[in-house]
Amino acid sequence: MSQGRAWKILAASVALATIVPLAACGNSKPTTDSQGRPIVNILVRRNVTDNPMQKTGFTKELEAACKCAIKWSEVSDNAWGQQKSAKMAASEFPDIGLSLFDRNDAAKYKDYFADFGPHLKDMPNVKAFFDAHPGALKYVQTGKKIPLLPSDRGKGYEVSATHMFINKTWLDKLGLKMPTTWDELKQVLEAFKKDDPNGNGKADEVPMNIRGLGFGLWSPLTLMNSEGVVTSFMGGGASEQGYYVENGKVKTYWTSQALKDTISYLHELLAEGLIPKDVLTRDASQYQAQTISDGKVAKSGVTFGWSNYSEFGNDLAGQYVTLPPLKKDASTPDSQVKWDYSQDAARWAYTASGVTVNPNAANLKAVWKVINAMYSEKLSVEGFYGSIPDIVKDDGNHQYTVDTKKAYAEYPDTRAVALQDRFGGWIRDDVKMVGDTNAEQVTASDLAVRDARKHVDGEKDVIPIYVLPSIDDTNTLQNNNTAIANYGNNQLAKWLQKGGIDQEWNDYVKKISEPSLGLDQNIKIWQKYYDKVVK
Amino acid sequence: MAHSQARAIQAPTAANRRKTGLLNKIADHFSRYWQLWILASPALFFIALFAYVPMWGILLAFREFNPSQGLTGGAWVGMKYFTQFFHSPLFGEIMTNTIRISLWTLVMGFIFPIILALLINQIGSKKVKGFVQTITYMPHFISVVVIVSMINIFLTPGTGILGRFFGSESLMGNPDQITNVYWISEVWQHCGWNSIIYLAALAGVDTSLYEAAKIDGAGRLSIIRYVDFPAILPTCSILLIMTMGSVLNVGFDKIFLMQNALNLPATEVISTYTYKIGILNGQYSYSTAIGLFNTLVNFVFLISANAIAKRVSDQSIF
Amino acid sequence: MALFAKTRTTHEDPVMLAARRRQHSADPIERLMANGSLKPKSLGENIPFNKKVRPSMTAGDRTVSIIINVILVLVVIATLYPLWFVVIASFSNPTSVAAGTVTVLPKNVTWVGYAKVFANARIWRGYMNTILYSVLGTAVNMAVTIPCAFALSRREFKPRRVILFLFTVTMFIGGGLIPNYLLYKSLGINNTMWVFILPGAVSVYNVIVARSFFETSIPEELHDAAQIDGLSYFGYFFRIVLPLSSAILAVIGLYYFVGHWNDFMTGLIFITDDTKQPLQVVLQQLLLVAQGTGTNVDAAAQQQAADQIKFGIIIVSTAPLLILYPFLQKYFNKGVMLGAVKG
Repeated sequence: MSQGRAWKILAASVALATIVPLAACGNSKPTTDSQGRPIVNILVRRNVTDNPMQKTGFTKELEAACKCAIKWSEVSDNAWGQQKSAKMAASEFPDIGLSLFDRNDAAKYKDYFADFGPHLKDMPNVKAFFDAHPGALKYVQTGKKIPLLPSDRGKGYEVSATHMFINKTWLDKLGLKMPTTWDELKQVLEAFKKDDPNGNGKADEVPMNIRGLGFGLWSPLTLMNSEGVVTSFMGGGASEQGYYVENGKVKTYWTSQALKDTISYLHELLAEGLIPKDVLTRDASQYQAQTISDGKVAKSGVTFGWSNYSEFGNDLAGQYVTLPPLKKDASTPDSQVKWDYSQDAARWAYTASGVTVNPNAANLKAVWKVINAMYSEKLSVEGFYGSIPDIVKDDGNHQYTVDTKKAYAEYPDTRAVALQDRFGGWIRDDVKMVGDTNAEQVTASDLAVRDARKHVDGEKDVIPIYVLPSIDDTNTLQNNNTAIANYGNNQLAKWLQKGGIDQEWNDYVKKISEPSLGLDQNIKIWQKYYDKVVK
Repeated sequence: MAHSQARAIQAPTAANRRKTGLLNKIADHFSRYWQLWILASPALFFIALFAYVPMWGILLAFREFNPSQGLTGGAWVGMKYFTQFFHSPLFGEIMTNTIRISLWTLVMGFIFPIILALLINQIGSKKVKGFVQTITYMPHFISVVVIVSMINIFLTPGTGILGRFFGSESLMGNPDQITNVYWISEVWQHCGWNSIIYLAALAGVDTSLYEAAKIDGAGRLSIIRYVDFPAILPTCSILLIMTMGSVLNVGFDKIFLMQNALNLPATEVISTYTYKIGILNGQYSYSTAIGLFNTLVNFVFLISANAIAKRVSDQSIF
Repeated sequence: MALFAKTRTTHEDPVMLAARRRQHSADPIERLMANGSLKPKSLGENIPFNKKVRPSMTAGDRTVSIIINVILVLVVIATLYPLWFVVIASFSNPTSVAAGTVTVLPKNVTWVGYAKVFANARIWRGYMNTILYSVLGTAVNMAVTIPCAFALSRREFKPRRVILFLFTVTMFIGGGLIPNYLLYKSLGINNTMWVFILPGAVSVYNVIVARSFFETSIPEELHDAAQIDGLSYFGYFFRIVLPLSSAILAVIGLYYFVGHWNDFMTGLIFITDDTKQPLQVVLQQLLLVAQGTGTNVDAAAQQQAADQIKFGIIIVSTAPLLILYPFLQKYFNKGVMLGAVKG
């Protein structure tokens, strides 16, 4: 390096360090645009940036409805995860936030969220939504205040989030009947294993395939419903933490007979090679390699998932049907067979976040107008599926047709051309959507479990997802659950892999109930809030 | 020893100036060293601004997080979150796991790059040397997500390129083996990259030393031992001291992605625990407190390592 | 330290006197070379174990040599295979990759992953941004770090221990995300390119590494000679130390450059304007949107596409770094003359 150049670089960097920060200071944003329209800033958590919302016809219609100028910003999921706390501390809130904050945020930082309650009169569409779905209101209300609005993606999504699928083609080929009990299922799986149902001459069938164990989406632990212990594995409620209710008494899956039976059964299957031995350790991509396979020869017999199309891909989905919920054994009465009660979460609380408003927004009046417009029938459809007439056709009489070629050109849903599940809005029950592939497929997959789900009492058998403990209690629950799950999940995994649950169960129950882990404390907390809301 | 000598030399001048007072001393210092101050000043400025100004954030560990009252406007809770961490039923397990995994990784991650650098330095051909070095440093650029995917795929029992040698259950599910999987993959990924600094040091070795050693009849190993190794020793000690300052650091991403229900008893470490408890649930004060505890332990280790190094060798950070 | 003490007492050394006599030479290094303090750069044939020397190797040496070569070959294979795997996985069918059937050669070749990556115009802007941030950032880094490391390497500069201690503290104790965010906000560098460059202008780690290099690899005799020549610290640093330190400059430069190149969090947290995002963030966004969310249609097929992109983006983001090595090697060899003084 020559002397001169080194000096220059040094000098430049020092100059830069002192000048740049000063130069960039101070610019307050204008609150009206050049035509004098009030500006409303909307920030949405959304992963697409090739088709910014700013340019859509949807935005133009919104602007027309509110007589204001809308400025969109978009933030990706992982960016928001990182920025959230900093932006809150810096008081950088958009006028309207879509999919940014959840109920806990709203409860924790009350001053940051405007109360929708007093403004419902300015938003007849939102009021109509709450009138039609009181459950949705319960979900977001904290005390008297309504700090955020849920969205409703319509009855096409009023489904259990978890379904159990079976390869009907294989059943037919081997001349087997749909299993109705755990024992029958096991016999079917044994046949899948040895009789080469996919007919390629190789023993490459995976009779039953699971993603892992846990109280969450697509878990094989939904088999607990077979003996009447109801799960609700979506929406972030008590069930996903491991708690349920029976005759008004809060209990935990961790120490339940149903869990013990399910794990024993799954271990039996795994030990006989009916479930792959590496399910708990493999890469997620390896699961898909066995469900989607090569698109020609199916490899999986039974799995747990959302819809048969999403689980097996378009090419193989036709081979699979939903398995109606099984009885634990033939003696289980029909009324005792339940199924995952997650349709509310799937329909309107599925993102665990909603529409929020900054109480200090410059143009609050325009904000209410924007939100009211978003919850109107037509703009709800446009927000979720795409603008009319570019992407969606308005057939009149509450019927809309999605132009599937345009809408799904990039991705198999409308996330590229619209807000999709990040929208704020209400798809009404009388709206008929044509071409919403996802809803059509998952509804078809859901039909087989609806009878069993009718056996579930939404308040007596599960802790509804709208039960929300206070912040302090939420922290206690979380800290305890981390410790409980650390021990419990490992035990379940060991039993699944190596067996021994019968011998070790009592010790385990003793250990997991130790006061230091806080299982009892958590049960009491949930009981307190359950009683408050339900009784 | 070295100090006393240095002091002895400066003693006479210092004695002359003793009477002239502090102010003159400072003036004298600057008149001698103002150029060094200028050279150091941009860095001093940046460190002061970007490291020291935001440091008040650690107060969060002693307060409730309440952004609406300013970051540290929440109620003062003192040591509440530290006590909570120490009394957590997982505290013992987390500490053991963290220390076990990080020590293995630190020690092995320290030794292997040195060996690799010494080996690469033995290659005569420039082209081969370049090839080997480029190949060995490339894995450094693979993202953690892909590394963990590859580990999973390679270790799949039966079909995996490594898994086929380890029986019917994946090493990923074995709490006794997961530490090894972790540090070996770490060493594999970063060994070449970390050897670059040693190669730079070796590039400075006087070639006449090699010739002298050869004339003395030294074999190849003795040349490595008596010429190459001393050349990188100062760098080694500095890096070792700095490594000691990360005894409680197990990077979050990789271990979190490697976690599964089977290996959990061996893979729950401070960073994953903080994530589960703090970030997921917005308990910022709690996670700040755990982070601060982590930091203090690391800092104590670094200071001790530095003190030891100062005593036994000439090399130390400060 | 011993060296330091000794040289202070040898002012009238004849070599140094000779150095004083050569004061009119333009290049201080040339001057020092002329007086014998520095020997000319070693040439290829002097480097040990080259072709000419090999015949004189003993049997023991040959065994050692074989062992060394075998180990190196094994290391290269162990490293090369996973690298190769990333390459072939990036254009093999993801199902085959996951099923473990892709081992040596790509299988069911598909370019869907790359097509998805390059169909996106933002990739190119991401590249441009990353190059800009990396080059400019590294220049600032070097301009700030190296002079400071030099100053701190001077043993007679007493405040250096305090300064180094205060520097080291910052490697451990930071305020965390929120105070940083507020600081950048008040400086007005959020959502500008400066947020990539200024906050990370000094890496204490690199300062310490460079300082220790200056301390141990630049012979103290040079400083004495320079003083006798009447060079100030500035002159000594710019005209003698810098030209002799190309190896460490290359390494520190590389560390900084790669640090900028791989910097993902800065863009993620502090940049909201999409046109300013660096390559790493753009690539991550691609991956994220490809994955979709769990309850979307055809989730599994999407996951597959995402799995393939996952491998592809490594190639896309890393390939430019392959050119770094030749650059590095050039400067490594320049450093060879350094130790000559000690001999």
